Amino acid sequence: MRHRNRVAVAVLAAVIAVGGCGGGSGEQATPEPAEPATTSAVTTPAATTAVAEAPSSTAADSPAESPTTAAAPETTVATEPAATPETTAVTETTVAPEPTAAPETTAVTAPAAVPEGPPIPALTLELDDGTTFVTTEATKPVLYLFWAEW
Amino acid sequence: MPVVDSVAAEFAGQVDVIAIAWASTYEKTASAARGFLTSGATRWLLDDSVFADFEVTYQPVGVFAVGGVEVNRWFGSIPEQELRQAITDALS
Repeated sequence: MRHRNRVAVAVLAAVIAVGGCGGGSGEQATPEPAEPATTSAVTTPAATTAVAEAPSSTAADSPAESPTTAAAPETTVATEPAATPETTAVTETTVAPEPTAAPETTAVTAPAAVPEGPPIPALTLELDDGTTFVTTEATKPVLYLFWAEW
Repeated sequence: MPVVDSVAAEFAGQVDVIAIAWASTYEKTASAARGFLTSGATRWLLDDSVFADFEVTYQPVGVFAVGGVEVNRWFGSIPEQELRQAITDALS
């Protein structure tokens, strides 16, 4: 009984301490923000734990009666989900301007195939009309016709 | 030769036709050319050495060259249609 009385006294002291922290001032009309409330909730168990450790060291025979848990006020911190701003999808419709001019087309010419065969002898032919014809500088296909007047 | 000259006239501007004569005199060759090569599309010369350079040992022989490369050679006279086809194939 003596121990129980001590424990009860300790619990009462803890409750009073908690009540003191909670504020009996009543000066603040608006509720405190979430963070200070959380701080007090954390502080409260620490205080009660300090009280609770004392009886455990002195009276080991009554661990079941742990007024600490019974006396500790439950602090429920209601956290409201942050209001998510409504999002409004705005779809902009962009009208592409009609092309006024036809796109330019670039003709890609494949490289001409190199003909196969023996090279023509490099000659400078003096023609009857007074001109010369260089076989290696011909820009067009050439038909060489070997003939005789007889 | 008249056949060759006729075909040369058909492909004037697309193909150069050079008639190389040999084993004769200039006067005789020129006279024959005036009779056979009337279109003006076939130019000619008399030079035996060119036969040797092209390794041609007799005539008539035709050599078709494209891009400085010999792509076709035929020996003897060929029909006009065959000559025309040979040139057409070479141009395609």
